[in-house]
Amino acid sequence: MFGVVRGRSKGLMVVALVSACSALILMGLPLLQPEGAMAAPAVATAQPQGTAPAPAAAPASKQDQPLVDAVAASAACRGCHTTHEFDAVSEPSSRPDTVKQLESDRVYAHRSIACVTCHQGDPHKTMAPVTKVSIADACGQCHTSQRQEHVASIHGQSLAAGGKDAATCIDCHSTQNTPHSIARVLSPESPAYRGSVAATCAKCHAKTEVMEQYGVPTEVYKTYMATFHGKANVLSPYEITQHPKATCVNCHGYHDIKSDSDPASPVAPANLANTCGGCHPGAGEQFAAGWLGHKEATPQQFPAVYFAERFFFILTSSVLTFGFIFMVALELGSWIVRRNRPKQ
Amino acid sequence: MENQAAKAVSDMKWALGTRHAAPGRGPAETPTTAGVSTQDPALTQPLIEPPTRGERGQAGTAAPRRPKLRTFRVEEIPAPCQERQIVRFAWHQRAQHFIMMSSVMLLVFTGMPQKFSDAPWAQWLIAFWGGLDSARTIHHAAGFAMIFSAVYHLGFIFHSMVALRKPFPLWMLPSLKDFRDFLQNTGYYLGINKQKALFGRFSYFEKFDYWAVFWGVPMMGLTGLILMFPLIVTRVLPGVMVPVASIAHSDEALLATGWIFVVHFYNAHFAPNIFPFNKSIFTGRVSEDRYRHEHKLEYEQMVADQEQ
Repeated sequence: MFGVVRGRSKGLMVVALVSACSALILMGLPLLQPEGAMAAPAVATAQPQGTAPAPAAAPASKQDQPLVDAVAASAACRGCHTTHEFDAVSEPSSRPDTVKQLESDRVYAHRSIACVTCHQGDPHKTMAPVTKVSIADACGQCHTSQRQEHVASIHGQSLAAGGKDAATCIDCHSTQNTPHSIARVLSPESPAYRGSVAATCAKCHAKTEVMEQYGVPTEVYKTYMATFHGKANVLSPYEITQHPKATCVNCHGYHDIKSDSDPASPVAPANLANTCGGCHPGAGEQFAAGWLGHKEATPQQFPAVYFAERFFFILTSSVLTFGFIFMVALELGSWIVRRNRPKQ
Repeated sequence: MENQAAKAVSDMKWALGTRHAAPGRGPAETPTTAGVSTQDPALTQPLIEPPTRGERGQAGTAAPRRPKLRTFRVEEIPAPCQERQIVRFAWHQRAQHFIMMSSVMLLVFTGMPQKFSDAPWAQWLIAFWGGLDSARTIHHAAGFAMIFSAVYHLGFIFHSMVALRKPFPLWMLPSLKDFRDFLQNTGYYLGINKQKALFGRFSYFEKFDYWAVFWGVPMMGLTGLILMFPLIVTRVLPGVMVPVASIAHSDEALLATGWIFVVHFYNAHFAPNIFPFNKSIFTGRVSEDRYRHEHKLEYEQMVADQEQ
């Protein structure tokens, strides 16, 4: 047999034999693992076959024996939480589509993490009712330093004081506002991605009716987008540039966002030049003064900017109108009229 | 009537052309206009289609026709232009315009997507230049080229006055005559005046273009430099100069682009007596006939000077 196969085919044969052997070994490996690992998928496929399972039944049987293997436990959860019969009795966030999406879509950062990592203890009781604070606390069990910064931030303080509007983890990190759809910050789908973060902040900070309650200005997004920082982010959202383009978080901070009246804030008047200097080395007081602080130019606030705007608007529109009428339209119009006039 | 006359002329051209192009095959006639009489059946008969090869010389008779696949229109090639040309622009002036033109085009197509960053075409145009960093680098380089052309121009005037002892170009300055010419032409376009204004070396709209650049280049150059070096500028000037420069640069750019693409292009290329293209700023030459019409006063002066 080997006499017939020559040259390249012989090499292929060797490769095929080696891969067949390794495949056999790999298939045999799971047999050596604890029984739970193999048993779990069987549960997952077997349960949806029957009629709608009683929601209490499955956890009750599982409650007695501790859930040793996280993967096995997730498979058990999927047994109920991926069937559509479940819709009637479940919270929106635990409905099949949400759970399925978490494990199927590669965007989601936590897709390989077992359900019980967040849903601890009795998974059916502990998380309800879900609040912005309880979500942040749950995330903070692993993401400790971020939660500490968030607690100290203006958002965290507002939440702790009973506010309903301040941002919690999922408001900036989740594509569909559920803890299941957390995307990595570096993936363009994430609301916290560099190209999208300004729009994400604007979800709340451009809403007048929400911001008025807290005395926060609402034209921040509009004025940011009018500056070169905003334009650069729109023009090349996926481009890795020589200089990273400043978004909201580059000046205001990430999890530790503070009010601009807080002296510890990087955008407090005393710290502003230093913050600019992070990207513009050597930025002085006057450089920082060139930043209009998200304010519209008015005759009272920034007279020089306001009158420059008015002057150049009037100049541009009047000169262009003059040129178009007196140097183009009139001549062309009279030419057309004279051309069509019958000759005498 | 006009259309019919034009048809007869074009038919005549055609008839002349075929005979001229294939001498010896048709009737022995010389292809001169003097030799063609209106009695020629080829000219009086309406020609719906040009006759086929087999029918040449018997057009108008009811000869059986073969179906044709293609017909060829043969025209007499006019004799090479013997017209005299007048040199209107010196080599240096053409070079100045070329640098200005190419730098402004680059500046417009790299700058406008930055101004209208929300527009759907802006991201495409930035990608065309190879990204934002690349577009900005080209914008900066073209900006320096534009400043260079302005310096070149001033140096050229200085050189021609000091070294070449030429007079100061007074004809470039706006005068009362320009204002009168403007009123005269506007009146003509509105049907009030019977005559258009007669121009010297530069018409009022040419001067307007020139002085628009004279105002625009320092504005764009200075504000552009402020935006390019904000750290250095704010060590000397107040910080509010940066947003002011940004507004000035952006609005003035729109003014310059609109003026160039609408008014300047119209006056230089698209005006009915010039369309489609006036290449005098590239070759430096204008035909004598056109010069006589467009710059009549200067032309008459030139002729008078030569006769002396």
